[in-house]
Parts: sequence; C-alpha cells; structure tokens
Amino acid sequence: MEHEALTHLIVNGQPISTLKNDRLIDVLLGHQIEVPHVCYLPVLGPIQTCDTCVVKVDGQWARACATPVREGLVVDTHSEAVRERQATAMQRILGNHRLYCTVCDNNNGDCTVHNTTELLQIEHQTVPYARRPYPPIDATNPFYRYDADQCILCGRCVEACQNLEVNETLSIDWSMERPRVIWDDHQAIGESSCVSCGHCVTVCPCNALMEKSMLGEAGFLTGIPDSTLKPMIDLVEGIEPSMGPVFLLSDLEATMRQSRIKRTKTVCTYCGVGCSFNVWTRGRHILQIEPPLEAPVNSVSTCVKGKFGWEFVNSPERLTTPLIREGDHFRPASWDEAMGVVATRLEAVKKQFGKDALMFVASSKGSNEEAYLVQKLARSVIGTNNVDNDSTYCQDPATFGLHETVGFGADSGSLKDIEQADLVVIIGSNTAESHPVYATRVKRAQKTRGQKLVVIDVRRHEMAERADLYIHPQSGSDPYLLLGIQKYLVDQGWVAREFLEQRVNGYDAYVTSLAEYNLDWVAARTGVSSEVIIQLATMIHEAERMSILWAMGITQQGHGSQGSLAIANLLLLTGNFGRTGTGGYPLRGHNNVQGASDFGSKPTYLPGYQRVEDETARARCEKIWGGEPIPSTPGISNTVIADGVLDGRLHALYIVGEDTALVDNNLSRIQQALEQVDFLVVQEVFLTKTAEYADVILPAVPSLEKAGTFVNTERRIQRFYPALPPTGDAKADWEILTLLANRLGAAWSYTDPSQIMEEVSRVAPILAGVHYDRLEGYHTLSWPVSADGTDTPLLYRDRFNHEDGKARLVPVVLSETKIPDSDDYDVLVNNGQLLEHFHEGNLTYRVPGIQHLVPEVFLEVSPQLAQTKALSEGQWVRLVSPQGRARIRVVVTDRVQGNEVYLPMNSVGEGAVNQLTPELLDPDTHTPAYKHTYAKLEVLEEDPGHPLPSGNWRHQHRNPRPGVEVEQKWARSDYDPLVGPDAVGKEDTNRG
Amino acid sequence: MARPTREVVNFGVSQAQRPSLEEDWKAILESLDEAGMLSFLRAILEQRQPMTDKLIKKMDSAPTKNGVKTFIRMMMALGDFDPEGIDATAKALAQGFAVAQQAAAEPEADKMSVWSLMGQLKNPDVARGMHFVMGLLEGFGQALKKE
Repeated sequence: MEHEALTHLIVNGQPISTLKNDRLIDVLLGHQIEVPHVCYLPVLGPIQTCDTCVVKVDGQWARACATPVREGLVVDTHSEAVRERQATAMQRILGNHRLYCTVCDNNNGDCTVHNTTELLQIEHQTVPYARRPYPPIDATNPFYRYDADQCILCGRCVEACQNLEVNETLSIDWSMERPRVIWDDHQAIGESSCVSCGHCVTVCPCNALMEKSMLGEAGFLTGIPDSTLKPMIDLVEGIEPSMGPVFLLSDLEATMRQSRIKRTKTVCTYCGVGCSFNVWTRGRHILQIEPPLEAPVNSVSTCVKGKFGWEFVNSPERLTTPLIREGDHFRPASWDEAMGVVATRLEAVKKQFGKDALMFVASSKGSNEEAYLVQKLARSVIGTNNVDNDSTYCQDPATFGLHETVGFGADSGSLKDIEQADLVVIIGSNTAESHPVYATRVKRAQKTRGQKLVVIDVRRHEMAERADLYIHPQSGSDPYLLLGIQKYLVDQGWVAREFLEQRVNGYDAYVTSLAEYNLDWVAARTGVSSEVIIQLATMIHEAERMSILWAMGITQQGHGSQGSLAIANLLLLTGNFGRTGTGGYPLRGHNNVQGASDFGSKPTYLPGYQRVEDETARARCEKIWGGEPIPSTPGISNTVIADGVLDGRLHALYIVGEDTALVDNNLSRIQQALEQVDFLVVQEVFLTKTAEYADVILPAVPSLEKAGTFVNTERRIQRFYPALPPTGDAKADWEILTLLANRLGAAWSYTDPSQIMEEVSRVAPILAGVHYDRLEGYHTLSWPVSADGTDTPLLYRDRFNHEDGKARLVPVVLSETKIPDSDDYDVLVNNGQLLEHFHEGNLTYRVPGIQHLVPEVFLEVSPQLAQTKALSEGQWVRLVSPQGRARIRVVVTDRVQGNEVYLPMNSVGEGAVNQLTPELLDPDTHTPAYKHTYAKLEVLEEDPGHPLPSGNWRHQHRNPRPGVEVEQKWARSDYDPLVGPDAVGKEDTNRG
Repeated sequence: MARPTREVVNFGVSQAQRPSLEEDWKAILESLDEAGMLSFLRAILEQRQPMTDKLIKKMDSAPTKNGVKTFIRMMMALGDFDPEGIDATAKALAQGFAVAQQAAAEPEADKMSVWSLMGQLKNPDVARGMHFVMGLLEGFGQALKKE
C-alpha cells in the first residue's frame, strides 16, 4: 500500500502529523483543537470574510482556513493574544447582528453565530449594533426571507450560490455604505434568477436567511407578534448587565425545543440523485429540510423540490381510508372489507383466466422492500412474472446498453467520479432541471476547476448555455453522431489500444460495423458539421478521463437501447471505464427506479438481476419464498398493459403508486384499457387519474410516513426513517402488501422493513451484504455488496461483469423510426421534466409555494415559430398529433429552435403531453418513443394571459461572479486587517 | 367496466353528546394548548435533565458562585435588622432625598463656606441627622472591632 508523505507541525507546543497541503483549520479541528470559525465550511472552502479563525502561524497573524499546512509550521491557537484577536473579529460580526437568541427561530443549538460568541466568552459588545439604513427584509420568495439587519456578511450564501450550486444569483455589494447580500443586480428575490434551491438558507450561519416555514414556529416564544417582540428585545438588552444570562436563557430554551422539534433522516423522492437530509418537524408541521455536511451525495445541496416541496403530505386531499367503488362513486370502507374484496376478486380472476391474467406494477417511488414484495406477491402468491415498474417507460434502454457491454445495467461510478472527470459529455439530459444536484457538481467542476463540458441536445437549456461545446443534432440522430465520432476516432488511431487488448472483446467486428459512418454521411444525417464532429472527437481524445451522462433524450427515442449501446461502446473504445472520473451514467429519473428493478420488479428479472430463465436462481427464490412455482418465461411489461387488457390477456391490474393513466404513451388507449379491465386495484397517496378508474383504492403513505431504503442512480442504498405518523388509516405499501398476501393464503410475518431486507440478502447475491445495521443513519452501500459488507462505488476497476471478466463491444443496429406520413405534423414536440414540478405534478401542485412559482404547464416555442404562426406570449394553442390533442399557452424562448417545441410533463389536464405521444416502442426494451412526437400547431383566439409568472427565474439574467470577492471588503476604508503584516492592534470599532 | 370518477360518498358519523365537565376540561386544555403552555410544560419536564446540566454548568463558575454566596449572606444579614427601625429609617431616607433635591436646586446651591456649614449644625433637623449618621458609624466600628 502506498503511504502518503506526512507533514509535521507544532501546535501550541505539541507535535502533530498530517497530510501535506491540508487546510490548517481542518487539521486543527480534526485534532479536537478549538478554533472559532464562522464563514468557513469544508464544502465551500475558505471564504475569508469573518477573520474569527485568526491564529499565529510562525509568529505571523493568519487565517487558519486559508493556510495550507507545510513542514515545520509552528501554530499558536490559544494564547491570550490569539483569543483576544479572535474575539475582536467576532465583535465586528456582532456589530451587524442582534443577539435576541431566546426569541429567534434559529436558536436550535446549531446557530454558528451564537455558538461562536459563547465559545469566545464574549460578555460585552464593543462594536455597537446598528440597523441598516435601508428596508432590511426581502420576503418576496415563497419559501425563504432575507433579513439584512441580521446579516453578518460572511458570504457563505454567496459562495454556495456562485460556486457550489452555481446558479450565480447572489453576491455582496461591497460598494454600499452598509453592504448587503444582493440578488442579481439588486432585484427583489422573487423577481431574480433565484431557483429557490435553498443552498443559501442552509449554509447561513445565523437567522439572516431563514425558511419561512421556520418563522414563528420553532421556538416557544418566537411566535410573539413583532409589535410585542421588538420592545421585549429592547427591554432585555437595556437591563442585562452582560451576555451571560441572555445566553443561559437561550441555551435553556434551545434545549426545551428538543422536545417539540423532531429531526428525522430521510432520502428525497423527487429524482434519482438520492439527496438525503434531516426533516425537522413539529407535530405535523414541516419546519425545515436540513441537508447536513455528511449527506453522502449532496452534502448541503438541494433543489427547490427537495428543500421546500413537502407540504403535500398534509394536503386535505390525502387518501385516508380504503375506498370501494359502488357504480359511479367510491365509498369508504374498512381495511378488512377492502382486503376481502381485493383478495376475492384477484382469486376469482386467477381461477377463471389463469395466473397470467393478472399484472402487477410496482412503484418507482416506493421503497426497495416494497418493490421486492410486489414481485414476490406476483411470483410466489399468484404465480406470474407479470410485474414491472416505471423503468420500462424511461431507463431500460440505458440498462440494456450497459448490460450488453460492461455487464451491469447501472451507473458505473458515483457523482464524485463525475466531478473528477476532465471531460463531461451530457446527451439528451436537461440535468440542471431534472437532476439539479448532479448538475451543481458538473457546473462547479467546470467553473472552479476547468472541467470541459459538452452538451448534445435539441434544447438549449442551462447546461447547453454553459457548455464549452454545444451541439444541436437533428432530433433522434444522436446514435449516428456517436457512431460517426467513433469511426473518426478509430480512423485517427485515437483508441485505447492497451485497454482494448487486455479488457475488451469484439474490437475487430465492431470496427467493421462502423464502416458506413464516415464524416460526410454522419454530417448529412445529423445536421452536425464535420468540423464539429472532429472538434468533439479531438476533445474526447485529449481528455484523460471522460464521463458520459445521458437520460430520456436518448432512451425515449425509438432506438434508445441502440443509442445507449453506442454510448457504452464509445466509452470502451476510449478506455473510459474502471477509473475514477470515467464511466457511463444514465441519470435515473425517479428516486427508486433503480431500486425497483434491482429488487426484482421486472418481468424478466428476479431480485438482483437474476434472469427468470435461470433455474438455479428460481430454485433459490422458491425455497425461500415457498408458494407458487416461478414461471421460467418472462412476463409482460407495463407498456403492454393497454394491449393486454384490450386483447383479453389481462383481466386484473394491481398498480402501486404509478399514475399509469397519465404516464403511458397514447393516453386515450391506456385510459380505455383501465376502463375496461375487469378489476383494478390502486395503492395511492392521492386520488390520481389512475385511481379514478379503480375498483378498490388502498390509501398508502409517502416516504415521510414510513421506513425503508431507496437505491439512487449511483447504485447507492440509503435508509429513510418515518418523520411523521401515517395520515388517517393510510398504511405503508409494504404493510398493505403483507396484509393482502396473507389474505391470499401466504404466511408473511414482516413487522419491519429490515426483515424484508434480510430476506433479500439471501435471495440476491449482489445484495448479499446489505443489512439495516450497515445502513444506519447516513451510512450507505453501493451494490454489488459482498456478504462481508464490502461495497462497490466504482465498478469495473479489475473486471467487467461477464464470465471472462472482459467487456464487449457490441455493434449498433439502427433502424429509422417512423414519423407521421402527413406533412401537416411539422412540429417536433420535445418533452420532459421541469425543475419545479415532479412529473405530472400530483405531489408538487399540492405545495403552495411551487404552485406560486409555476402555476401551470406551458409550451416553449421558438421566436421563429412564433413569428411564422403570429404567436404572442401567453397565446393559447392546440397541438394535434395522430394520437390526440393538447391545449396549452405558449412561452416564446430561444431555448428551442425552429419548429421544435418543448412541452413539460407537469399537467394532469388538457395540457398533458401523453395525449400526443405515439405508440412507438423501442424494439429491445419496449420503452415508448415519447421524444418522437410530431404534431401540428393550431392557434387559438381566446383568453390571453401569461402561463409563467413574470418573476420566474426563466425570465431573468444570472449574475456570475468569482465568489464573495472578499478582496473588495479588504480594500474598504473601514476595514482594518487582523491578519498579515498590516494587522491592527487591540483597539477596534470596525463592523465586520 | 369502470368509468373514471372522483366522487367519494361519505357516510357521516354522528357525534356523541359530551358531558359538560369534559367539555370544560377540553376547553381549558385547548386554551392552554393554544397559548403554547402545554408544549412549554411538556418540554420543561422532558428536558429537565439536560436543562439542569446546562444550568449547573453555567453556575459552576467563580463569579456566579461568589454572586450567589453574597446574595445569600445579605439575605441572612437582613434578619438582624429591626423591621420597625428599618421602616422609620426608610421613611427618613425618602424625606431626606426629597429635601436634598430641593436644597440642591437652590440658586445658591453651588456655594458653601465653612461658616455656613457650622451654622447649619444649629438646625435641629440637621443635628438629628448628624446624630443618626454618627450612631451608625459607632455601631459599624463596634461590629468591626468584634471581627
């Protein structure tokens, strides 16, 4: 094992060893040596605004955060002179901040300003507090407010916005007489480019930036109206001889708050990134989402949905009791009655039409344990492989491409690998809106480290705007472009010869298959010039480490599997697997679309990707499960539900947490099927469109009301815990499934999800070492996990997942996807996610703040199309495709070009995109070609208005800065330095 | 065949009549809850241990301990005072302050010669006051001698 050289330093007279170039502050804190610090956070790096970490280094005053350790350093952190200087820095901060801790909602034991003041034993304020000479409060964002009168100008929020989230909205205007944080160019927050991600609020070390959900709610006395509160604060300040008693009182009050505030670790359910955080609740009120530094994927990062999008759990529209259909309405029923009806009807269908007349759909939002139980119910209780999850709608093509080539149908590494890449290529993914926290790390690496970014997409979204090279190919032609690049790389000899020889099979045949994809042909087919193809090939050749990220822009194209295959092949040709910074990353859309498949809710796979044809795997499952024998032939996928019902194969559907009636392509056909099916059971949180067709609705609970695990897009298994009790009589899906299985004659005895995971570890070899005790708190495991608990964050270091350990280059076979015959359908309807809303919006429309930001769906049209059709902003239009029609208002934007429009999927009404999408399926995986939608656009003359509020960030301009620009603070005439050769003496009246 | 519907027919559950005593208690508890008193009390009870720890930690410092000691001894010492005497002295002090304020406000208040001071001693009220102060000093001295 390689030993890294140690550096030796002397701290307060004692020797310390550490790694070279570590930050001094980290070394000191790591050795439990107390150093006050206010602006420093490891994830943000040194900001250097607060000066409280001032220490003596080799006899000179220096900030510990900005001092890299080197051999022989002599450090003094605790002499009287050092403590006095640190206190002076803190006094300057207190000149900007009023300590009314007991009546402050941030007094929860973790307030950095409070704790640092106490640590430094400051008893009297030497720099008098003074209010700002301008209105201090900005409450124009629906989720948070800024109070300049409490702002200490540490700049954490700015650093987080500029260099971690990289939305580039916040800065500090150091030119003002009394500086403050500003949004863009002094815009109100609600009219700025702020995307409400919450980074700034999370990292704020005091109460200057606060979640509105905390205000007046967290403390015992914080709900007092301002008219009473302000005189109270004045009174206490007036009569208190020193800060000691005030701090004692506030500490006691903070301790009392532990009784009313519950902090529960959970995992976000809004996309596949898998952000984890603590939910603070008081009763059923959600006070705040607190992503801690140690959250393994996201640290302090979140997006608007993860940070602020949880109020739906308290919606009065929650389903709270089982409902049984009676003709044209539902009536409430007891669990006993509902379960009786469901069991009787399912058994009747099984008896009359056979086991394969039933179909089960697991939720890609539910837990792993629940996905496992859905497939176990289908296989061992009913005896069918007809079980699927949402991955068929979106990610199976990516799984196919990777499975065929490198062996595991999943991301090959983690977000940390993507951060380390020299070149990131994003294809068909609007990462900044669909996987916002993943995007932050790519944007950060590009901005702060010079990582190169290439974006291939038909839509000029934020990542495209930021790209070093943006390529707009003809829609759906990406696989041809990828093959053209590979042909050029091979022709130039720019392939990883040694890697290919040692670790990859099929090179010669693959090169032969590329013959036809010469530059001219590919340029003509894709609309991308030869020069640009060469430019991209050169960038790939020059990059030591490349990661490719892709999503629905590839997988939902009609040949998504072959497109994904082309990506995996490109990575293999260039040796970009098995090393940090390399790999293929299909970005999973739903929080557990990876896990639902991993845990066996697929018609072709048992848990852990064991094929149903595999006799040994079946025998292992049958032995553990008992019950019905598992069929050796694959079941049907959920994209065949409509056909299955309408042609008489399927007679009963059991749908857990999927809005099939809206997410399937060709809505009229699936809705017809749901209407006709003999028996439909829906387990849901709300009365969704699918539930409207049900015979029995079973009320389920969302993740905040139950325990379990999810697998994120990195293959990372993470636990979540119940933050709230179930609403009404609703139950966790795993409890409902257990009740039903037992009603159907099984003998399931699960009383806790951990017992289900124990069983999984015996069923699925790649999950052999997964146990709840290894997943406690923020501990995670990335599969495959061997029995001893060793996990695999980065795949393929030594071998690929094929028998001989080698990867395979698999020739790509492309067939042209059919487009409508008529020339009338001249508009390409691209579609996908929107930052603020999750999918069709069943959850997010029930969050008032999100509803405020984006109240309805809209259609993005290009300025060219707007001109051709004489469209004005907000005009109603109708899109008509061979399958159906949608009615929406337009937003004119250059994010789209020519006759390409973008219709986000956040509509459950007449703007729903799947009224238009075609019945085309990817031949390899049956994933619908949602992106291959053509329509004609009709202008409607009615009720003009704007679908997107004028304050929305999409209308604003960002304000990129290098960061806090602390040099501007240091250059101010009212700043006397506390470090360096010009450092001031003891007397001080500066305001920080 | 099932047509889509959002209609849920609720069969209302009749509310039982509550006895008035229970109603009163409920109202009182609701008011306490509304005022935040219930959660306040609950928090104090639940967090009594860590709160006590914090209090003790804060109090376990030299200045706090000295302050508490001083306070206690002063309280004990107060027991030696004759309450009626205190009463008379307090009244005398109040009147003394009132007259003193008037005297300080006189136009000639910024001047005082030795002769005028001697003259003041002839005033019986001043003489009584002086006797009080001298007696106070005498008792003070006697007590210090015993120490």
